[in-house]
Amino acid sequence: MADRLTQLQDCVNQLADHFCNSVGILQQYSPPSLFTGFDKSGSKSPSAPLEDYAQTFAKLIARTANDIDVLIDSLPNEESSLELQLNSLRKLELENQEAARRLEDSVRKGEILLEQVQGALHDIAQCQLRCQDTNL
Amino acid sequence: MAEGQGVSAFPLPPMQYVNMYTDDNVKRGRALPPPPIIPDTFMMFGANFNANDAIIRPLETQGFRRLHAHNYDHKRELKKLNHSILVNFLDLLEVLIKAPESQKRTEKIEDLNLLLIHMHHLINEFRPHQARETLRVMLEVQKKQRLEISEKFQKHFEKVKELLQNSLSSLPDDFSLDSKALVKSELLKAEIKSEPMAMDVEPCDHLDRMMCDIVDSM
Repeated sequence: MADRLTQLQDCVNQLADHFCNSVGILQQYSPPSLFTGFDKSGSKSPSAPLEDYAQTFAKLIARTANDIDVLIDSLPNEESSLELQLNSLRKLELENQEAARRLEDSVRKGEILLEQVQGALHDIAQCQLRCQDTNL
Repeated sequence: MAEGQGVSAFPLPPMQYVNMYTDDNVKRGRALPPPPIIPDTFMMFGANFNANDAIIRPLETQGFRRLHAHNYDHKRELKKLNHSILVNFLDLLEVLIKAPESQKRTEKIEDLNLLLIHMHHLINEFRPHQARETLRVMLEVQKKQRLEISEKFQKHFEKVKELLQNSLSSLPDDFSLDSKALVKSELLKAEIKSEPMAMDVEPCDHLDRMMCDIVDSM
């Protein structure tokens, strides 16, 4: 799911879309209205549309507007402002460098130990080779 | 998804340009240098772009009329805009019902346009904040990962040291051959020391005796 700001932008665009669509569809599918005072009522009775477009669109628009309100409420306040963020960024940078230094230290210790072990293994292997030579 | 040989949705790559960057050319240094850095303003698709702009937050007073005060609370303004948009839409419907072809219709549409643009502008003003938050969260995750890795590494390190110490302590039980060899050479040294007088009489004898001992033990 996209982040809140993108969701908010999408909702606003959706609201505008609903406005356009509702006006267009209602204008297209509306039954013709009778002139006042003009008594020529044709035999054609306005066929009631199967779906009540007006109500559907009203519901959609209201729901989208409500969604926008909820999303606006979920945005962070002004209190977590610029200085706070910059401060926490600086602090985090220092802590990160400290953690990196610690990691480097332990890796170096491990490498030293590895070298020692490899040296010992090398010596053992050479002794073994020499013993094999003298035995043969 | 017609990715066949002759049917491609995209234009072909500029082969005359690409062919100048062969390996030979690059090695000889004859390939073209990269294009220079673009100066401040440039045109893109017919619109002007200024690289020096505070692109993140251009002021609205550049293009449109401004509807909110100068120190404002984003959330409240956004909510007010949301309600204004709905009210204006209802007004638009009224205008359409009563006098569709009048000028008020275009005015209402312009109002609606302005309100929507304001809404998007306020939302965009949140974006830098979001970017900084993302950065902060990424730094925190990195720090946690580094600390975890160094802890696990430390544990492994301790285990390896323990293993080595255990194996070292279990070694001297198997020292029999070495100790015999040591004793032999020590005995020989002791013999050499205890026979300084006999050296004059038989100068090479103790060496011969050592050789005979070694050959006997083999």
